[in-house]
Amino acid sequence: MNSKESIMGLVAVGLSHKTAPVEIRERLTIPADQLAEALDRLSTMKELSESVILSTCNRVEIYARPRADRSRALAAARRFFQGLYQYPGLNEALYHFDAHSAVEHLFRVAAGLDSMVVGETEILGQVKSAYLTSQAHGSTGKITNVLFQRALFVGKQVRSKTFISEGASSVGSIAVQLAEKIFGPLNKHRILLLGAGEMAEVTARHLLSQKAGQIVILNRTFDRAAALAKQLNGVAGSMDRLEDELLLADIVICSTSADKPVLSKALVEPVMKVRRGRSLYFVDIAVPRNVDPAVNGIDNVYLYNIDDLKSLVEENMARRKGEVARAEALVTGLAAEFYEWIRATLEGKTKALRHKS
Amino acid sequence: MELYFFWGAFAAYTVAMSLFIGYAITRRELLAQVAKKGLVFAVICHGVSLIIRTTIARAMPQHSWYVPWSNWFESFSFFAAVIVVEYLIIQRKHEIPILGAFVTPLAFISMVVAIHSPFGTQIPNLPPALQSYWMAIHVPVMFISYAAFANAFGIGIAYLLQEYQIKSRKPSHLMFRLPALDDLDNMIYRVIWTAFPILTLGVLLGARWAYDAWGRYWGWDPKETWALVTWLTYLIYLQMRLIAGWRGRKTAYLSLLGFVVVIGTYIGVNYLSPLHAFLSNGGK
Repeated sequence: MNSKESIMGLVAVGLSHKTAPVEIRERLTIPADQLAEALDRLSTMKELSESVILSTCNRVEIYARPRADRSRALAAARRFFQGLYQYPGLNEALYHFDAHSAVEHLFRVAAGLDSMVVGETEILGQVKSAYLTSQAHGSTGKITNVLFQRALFVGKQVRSKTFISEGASSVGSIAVQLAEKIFGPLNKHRILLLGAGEMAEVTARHLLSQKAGQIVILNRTFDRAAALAKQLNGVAGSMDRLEDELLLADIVICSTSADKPVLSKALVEPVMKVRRGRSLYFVDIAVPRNVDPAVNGIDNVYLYNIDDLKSLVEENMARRKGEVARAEALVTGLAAEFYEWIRATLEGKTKALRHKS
Repeated sequence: MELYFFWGAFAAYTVAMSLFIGYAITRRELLAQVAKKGLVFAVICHGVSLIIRTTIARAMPQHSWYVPWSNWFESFSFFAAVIVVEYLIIQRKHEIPILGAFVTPLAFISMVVAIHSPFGTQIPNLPPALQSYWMAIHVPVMFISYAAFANAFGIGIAYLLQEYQIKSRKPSHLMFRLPALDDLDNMIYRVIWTAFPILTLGVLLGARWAYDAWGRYWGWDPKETWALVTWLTYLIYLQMRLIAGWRGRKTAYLSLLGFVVVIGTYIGVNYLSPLHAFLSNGGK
């Protein structure tokens, strides 16, 4: 019985944003091009058989099957981390799970419950590519194959059954969602960046990922504008083109360091007359603000400043957090079911996994 | 017998409306799917009831020109059916089921008004002025335009709600379910742009009928005057939108105002015009 118990085990060892600061994580992260080598190193460890490495900027984890004894497998996995980067606190930063709790941990990770931003969806893709890399490398086996496919299923299931991934989780993405609720599809719309700050760039990138049309960057110093324009595949100009560009733009992202509003009601009102009521959306992420709040009072002009956007993000995050308990319960149930499946499979019985619930 | 189908249609409208509103609140796709099917079923039921009613009436010798939109009950019931048919056409084009939550209540209200007809639900004895083939031409043309304006009204309400949400800078979850402002604005415009020529045609046909019935094209009877006011309201909408460059909230308000005038022309004027008091059964 005891030997069987150890065979059917599964171990997970790793560290994440919850246990290690970024200075440590960045040293341990295994870049994609070095994963094969790391998997090779794992396969030379005789304590482990099947293994998958999940390495993102927020976590580095190994999922493996012990070849014989569970505690020796755990020790081997820890040794692997020490081989990556030696530092005094490493042992404390590393957590480990085995058997049932390892399954549950992976499912929680896939569901975004262990993420820095609860419910974020990027992790699901990262779990998938970690699995596919290990599989292509020949490191996965009977248990890990089904485990990871199941984890991806659980990740999707939890997101569709709960509101854990609902609503934008960043200022950039909420700004884009609002744009889509004003204009509809953004593919023909023109973005104007006032100021070439980092936040403006992030928001612009979000918009470009929604296939927004042309992008124009105006900045006090033309060189900065030109440099960013090159990166974003846009057009650069100097601030004296402001009024002309306001006539053409649909979305204006303001992030200049001006200490007084650059855009006043007196400036925007005549612009709207010429635009014949075409909607104009200002995203003012500058502090102090670039756009006079009175501008929001003009018909067909919509103005959101950094605080408006932040409070919307906070609302979304609060709603997500409110869903955590439901999501956890779902994960626990699915993990228990899966663990029963492993047990049955190893005992030679057949048991079906439900794909709908 | 046709009333069974009528009540079936009424029940299905009620269910479809509730499901659309449920969908708007919960965003469960399934509700929208069922609501759309329910609405189609309701219109078919309604159509069958109208066909049976017409068949029964035409079997009577005094009703050789009978069409099923001759009195209060029939006209509101028919109005509801046309609103829904036009909504289904818009729905096919745009696939935005949440608009059902704004349009189906108008059809529902029209059905309720029909049911509460002060003159009952029986097949009416038509006054001589209505025993004419114009009845089969002028009235449906008017209804097609009126029902389109009802749809524009529903979409206008959705626009104003969405505009308020976004302007407030504290949008609730409803914002993510409603379509984009520019899309709603364009839909209202396209509906009115399509309905306006139909309204124009309806008014012209009415004038032609007036010539046959009363010997003059235009007599500044309250109904005629109000029809002109309706026509002018939508003309102003189109002129503001196309020439003055109005968009968004102001034009949405105009589309609401237009429909209020339609309702005034449709119902209110019956009590003012002795010639057009068909709904109140006084038309001679």
